Amino acid sequence: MRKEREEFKTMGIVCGQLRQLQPDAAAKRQAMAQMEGLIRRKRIRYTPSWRELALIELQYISRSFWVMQAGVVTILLIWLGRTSALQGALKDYLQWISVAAAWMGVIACGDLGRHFSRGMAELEQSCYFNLPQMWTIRMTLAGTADILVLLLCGFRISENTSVPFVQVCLYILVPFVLSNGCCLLYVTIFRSTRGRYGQLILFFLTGSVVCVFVMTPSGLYTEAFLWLWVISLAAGTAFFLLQLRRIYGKIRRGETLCWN
Amino acid sequence: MLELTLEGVTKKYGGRAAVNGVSMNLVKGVYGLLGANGSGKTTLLRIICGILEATEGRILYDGTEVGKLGAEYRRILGYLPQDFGYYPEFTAKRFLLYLAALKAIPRRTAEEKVEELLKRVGLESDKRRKIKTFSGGMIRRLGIAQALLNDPEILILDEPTAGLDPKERIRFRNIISSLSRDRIIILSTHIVSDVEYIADEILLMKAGRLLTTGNIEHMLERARGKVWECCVCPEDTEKYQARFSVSNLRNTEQGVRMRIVSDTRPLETAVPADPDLEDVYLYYFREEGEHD
Repeated sequence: MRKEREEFKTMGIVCGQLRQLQPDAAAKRQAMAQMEGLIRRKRIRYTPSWRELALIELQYISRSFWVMQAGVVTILLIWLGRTSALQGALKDYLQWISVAAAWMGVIACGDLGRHFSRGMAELEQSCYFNLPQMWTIRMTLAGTADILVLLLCGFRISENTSVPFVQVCLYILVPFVLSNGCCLLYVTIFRSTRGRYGQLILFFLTGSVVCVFVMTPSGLYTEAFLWLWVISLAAGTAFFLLQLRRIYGKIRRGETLCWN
Repeated sequence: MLELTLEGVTKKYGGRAAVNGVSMNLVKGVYGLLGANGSGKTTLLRIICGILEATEGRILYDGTEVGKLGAEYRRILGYLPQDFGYYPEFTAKRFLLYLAALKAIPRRTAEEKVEELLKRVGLESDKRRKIKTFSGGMIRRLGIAQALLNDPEILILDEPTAGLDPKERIRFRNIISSLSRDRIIILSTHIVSDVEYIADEILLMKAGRLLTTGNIEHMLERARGKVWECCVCPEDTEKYQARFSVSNLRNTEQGVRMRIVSDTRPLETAVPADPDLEDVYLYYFREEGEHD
């Protein structure tokens, strides 16, 4: 009991001494500032999921993009129905679907170029979801929709012509990938308001040049030349990915975002 | 403590440095970034926003490099670019909602914030109009509203008052003053009167370098004894303009009243005058003025 009383007394003395201790003002200020910073960063913050982001993007993709894409798909379906009714050969199907595929790529990339031509890229890059993230979502959405349409057409052609589905898809995807790659290149070259016309002209030219697919000799659509189509698709995909890497690098460094 | 630190920030284009070794420490308050065209103001602001990559140096937000913070840094950032772009077919409200979505603001909060900001910048009655029908001043006000959407801790405004009429400029100043308590605001301009009223500190940039910094009183003190006023014959005006940095000319009955910025008394008849911020600006940038 006595020992406990002594311990209690000693504790009282220690507590009294502690109370008299003055904390270092500078250290206290620093600690308070650190706490303030930590509290500020702990603010409840909302982060949308990828699904929500995709919905946001869908909401703000321009109406003209959907109208043009729908136009190309409608023409494509009419042509498919007509060729099917006339019992056309493989080339009859592929010549126009190649052109449509190329135009789909042109339209998709043209919409991406809008960020630059409207001078929005700089502002959008300063937002939480920046330009590369938006582009990735948009390209995924538009690309998936386009490829889905093309694959469905490919399935129909394969059924009507008895040519393997994979082989038909190969023929269709080459112009699609090539036109996408070319248009991405133009987006980086011509990015200002004045350049918008240059961009549009080149987009239109690309879509028109791809019409040469109409003139592709029937012989090239045989198994003997399948290697050529595989190489073309691989080269086209590599070219597209290279352009994508280049443009993302330019956006990250900011060179392509700032006009002046 | 909210703190933004720039350490030797440099941006080079080929051999030319647009921004050259800028170092400064920014805490809560309004900073007026003044400089002639081509002095590197916009480039510096773009680097601070993370839009341009610096060739050298680094930027720290509360001690952490902003590159490492990535999207979290952009979340606390509000930016109004000098060339403010927009989608012309969007209405004002849709445009702000679009940017609110990019700034990761929940839809319901965004709706409320957009209404509040449209009212604040005086565009409430035009919210359903397409932006392509807006005047330059209205577009600028819309730009100011979008920069405030996420209630940013760091607000960067590049030439925010360009194209605004005097009434709109006063409205803008009042908005900025009401925001300045708990955030860092950097305001780039060459309209000296814009920053004179609201800036806590002035940053003067020349040829990519930060020439000097200080509060307005400090700046005015530096120019004290370097501003003179005198009356000259109208015929001699051109001669004096070529010789000295003249900040103001006014025709009076006695002749032409000149305000001159000079280290020494320019004329026998000249008397010292109280400097204002325009005189300070001219004092630091007079070489350019003389060459022009």
